[in-house]
Amino acid sequence: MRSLRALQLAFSAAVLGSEDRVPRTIASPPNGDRRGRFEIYREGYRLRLIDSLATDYPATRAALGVARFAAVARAFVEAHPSPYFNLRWYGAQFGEFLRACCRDDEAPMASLAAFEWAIAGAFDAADERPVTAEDMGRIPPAAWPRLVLTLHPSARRVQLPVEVPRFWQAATAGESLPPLSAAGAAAVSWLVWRKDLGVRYRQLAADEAEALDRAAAAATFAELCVGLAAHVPEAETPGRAAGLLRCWIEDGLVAGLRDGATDLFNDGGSSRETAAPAPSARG
Amino acid sequence: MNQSSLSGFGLGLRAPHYEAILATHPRVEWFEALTENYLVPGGKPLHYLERVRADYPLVLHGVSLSVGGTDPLDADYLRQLRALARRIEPAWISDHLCWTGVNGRNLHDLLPLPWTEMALQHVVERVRAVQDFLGERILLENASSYVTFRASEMSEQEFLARAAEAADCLILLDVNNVYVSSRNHGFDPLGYLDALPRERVRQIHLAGHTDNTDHVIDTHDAPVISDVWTLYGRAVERFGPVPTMIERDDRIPPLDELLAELDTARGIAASVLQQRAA
Repeated sequence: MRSLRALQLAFSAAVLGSEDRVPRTIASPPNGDRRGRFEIYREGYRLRLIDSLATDYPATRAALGVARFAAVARAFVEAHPSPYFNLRWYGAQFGEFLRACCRDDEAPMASLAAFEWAIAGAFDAADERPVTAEDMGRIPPAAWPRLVLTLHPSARRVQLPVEVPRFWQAATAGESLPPLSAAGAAAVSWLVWRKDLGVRYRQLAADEAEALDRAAAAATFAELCVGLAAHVPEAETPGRAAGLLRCWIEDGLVAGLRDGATDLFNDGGSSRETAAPAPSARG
Repeated sequence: MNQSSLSGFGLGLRAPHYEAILATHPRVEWFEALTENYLVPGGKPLHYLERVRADYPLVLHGVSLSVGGTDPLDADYLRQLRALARRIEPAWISDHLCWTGVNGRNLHDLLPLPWTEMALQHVVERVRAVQDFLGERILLENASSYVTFRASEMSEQEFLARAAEAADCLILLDVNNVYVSSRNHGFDPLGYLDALPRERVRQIHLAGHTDNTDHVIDTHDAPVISDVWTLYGRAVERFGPVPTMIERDDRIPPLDELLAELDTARGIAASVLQQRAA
C-alpha cells in the first residue's frame, strides 16, 4: 500500500505540476513515447476542468471570448486543485478568481460569474413544497406577528448592475450580445430562485431586498414590518408587508412558516441528503 | 434490488434526451444514469431521473468511487450514493477499476493502477468494504488507459478477474475500453475477453473513440467503430446475452440516431446467439 500510495502521489504531482515531468514509474509504450502518453492525463485534467467551468459559466465565456476564457479558466485550474468528487462544485470560487485577476476592462466579469453561479445553485437546489395562499388562510390572526418564514432553498440574493442579467439572458438565448460597460455600473439587488423546475430572477426594490434578508435571518413577521418602516410611512407598513408576502407566496418563495417552535405547514418537504447542469461524468 | 432482473439493450441517460424519452417512450429495455449527475439536492436532474425511472429499469454508473485509491474511501460520497440508490432502486451500481485522486485532490479521471499483488489486495479490500456498505455486489468496469507501470506483475485482465473473484463482485465489460487499451498497450483483445470469468460479466458498454494512429483516446463522442462491433460479437459469443448499452457523452446526437446504433448491437447479438444455438 505504501508503494501504491507513493506511485499515486508522484502521478498526481506530475499531473498537477506546471513542469512537464513524467513519473519514473511509467513504462515505455509500444507506440509513441512516455511523455506523449502521460500528456494525455496532464492535459486531459486541465481540459476537463476548463470544460466544467465553461458549462457553469456560458455567459462569462461569451463575454470574455472563447480564447480569453480558456486562458483565465486554465489559470484558475492551475491555482485550484479540485477537492470535490463531483465537478458540479468545482467552479464555486471562479467568480472571486475573476474579480482578482481580470483586467480593468473586464470588470463586469466577476458580477456576471456571480450571477451564473447563483443560477446554477438555484437550478438544482433542494426541493421543498411551497406554502400556498390556502395555507396562509388557515393561520390564526393572533399568530401573525410571531411567524417566521423559511425561504425556498433555491432563493439567492445577489447585487449586480442591471446590465448583467440582461447580458446573461442574451448570451444563453443565443441572441446578439448587449454591451457590458467596463465603467462599473451601480449594483442593484436581485433575487434568483426556482419556481417548480424553472430558474427565475427579478430585480428587487430596496425594501423588499432588506425584508428578504431579514426573513433569511429568521426575523418574525413583526420584525419584517418594523424593518419596512424605514422605507415606507408607518401607516403603510402592514399593507406593504402583506403585499410582499403575497408576492413571495405567488412566486413559490416561502417553503415554511414557523410559530415559535412549531412548523405550521412544512412537512419536511422532500429535501435530499445531498448537491446544475452537472458536467462531464464519464464512464 | 434484483441484480438478475435486467436484460436486453440500454442507453446512457443524457439530459438532451430527457424530453424525447418521456414523449416517445423509445424501445429501450433500460437506461444507465451517471451517478454524479444526480448527487444534487433537487431540481430538474432528479425530477427527470424519477420520471424516467417510472417507465424504465435503471442502473447507476459512477466515476468517483476511486476503488484503487489510497485515500480513505469517501464516506460522504458513499452515503450520497446509497441514498440515491434507495430512492431510485437501480438494478445495480457500477464504477471503475481505477483511482481518481490522492491526498484530497481529485483529478476527475479514471486513472490506471499498477497491476501488482499489493494493489490487488488493496482493491479487493475496498470493493468488499463498498459492498458491505451498500449491501449488494457492485459491478467493476475496465477503464481505458494510456500508460502502464513498470511495477506491474500481471495483465489487467488477470487483475480484474482475480479482483472480481476475491471480492465477489461482478464485472461491467467495456468492449470499447478493451479495444482502446489493446491498441495503446499492444495486447490481444480476445485474450482479454478469454481471461474474464463468464459468470461475473453482467453488463457490457459500447462507445466510440478517437483514433490518433499511435494511440487511441476513449472520447465517447462518435459512433462505435467496426472493429469494436466485431469484438462485441466475440464478447457475446463468450458471455452470452449480457445486458448491453451504448455510451455517448460528447457530440450527443438525436435519440433516434443512438436507437439505430443500438439496433446494430441487437442485430449482432441476435446473430451470434443464433449461431451459438445452432
